[in-house]
Amino acid sequence: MAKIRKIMCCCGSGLGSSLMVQMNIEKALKNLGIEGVEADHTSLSEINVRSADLFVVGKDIAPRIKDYPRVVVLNKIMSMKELTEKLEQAFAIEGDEIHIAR
Amino acid sequence: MIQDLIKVENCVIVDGVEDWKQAIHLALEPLVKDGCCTDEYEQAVLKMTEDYGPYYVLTDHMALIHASSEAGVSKTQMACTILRNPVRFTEEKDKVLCLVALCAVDHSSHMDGIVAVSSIFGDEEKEQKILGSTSPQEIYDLFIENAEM
Repeated sequence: MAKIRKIMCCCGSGLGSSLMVQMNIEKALKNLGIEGVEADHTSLSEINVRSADLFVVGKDIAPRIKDYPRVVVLNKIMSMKELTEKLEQAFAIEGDEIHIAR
Repeated sequence: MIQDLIKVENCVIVDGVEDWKQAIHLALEPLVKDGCCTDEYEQAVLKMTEDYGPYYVLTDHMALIHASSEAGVSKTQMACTILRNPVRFTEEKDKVLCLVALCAVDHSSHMDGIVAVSSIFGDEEKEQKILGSTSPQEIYDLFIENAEM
């Protein structure tokens, strides 16, 4: 599977927490020194498994995309610390499956 | 610009509310009065809460009351209500003291507002500051100060 080039954040409405997480991801990638990765946000009704290489969602949304191959689940949607740690883990995984929830 | 997204008149401090439904109504009231959205938007928030649960409770103390951009929204705008007594949206530990209401006509016009929300509520000290606001002007000023990335 391809390297992570695009990250999609998703929430119920597509304009609240998903946009917030998108901005936090951009900040976290910069802090981690990861370049060439795009982040975007969408709603649950428009989400598509082919639209990104990695999906980042809050735990309320997680059950709805449990079949997706690469998912990071956030317990605290606004925590930069949790997000940064989980992104670092995700980028360290070489395989096709990424499931980081805890 | 953040100045286009929030007004002093849309910042409110109240004692408390009876339940989460009244909290949603109160939070959206300034936006409805201002003509930014209609009652249909409130119904959409209630419907989405039934479908998904209170997805908008983003920290233990803050709820970002919003639905999607389709339902009865004519202008992107935010409002902020501080509660002196907390309201619960779930059985869990949340004790919501701040209701930020948002209606947006698309997926990006409210970007500066989200930057402010993220910066205020991602920082415990700033969160305490907004929760302790004693006037609408103080609430408004915090949004304006924190809209820069």
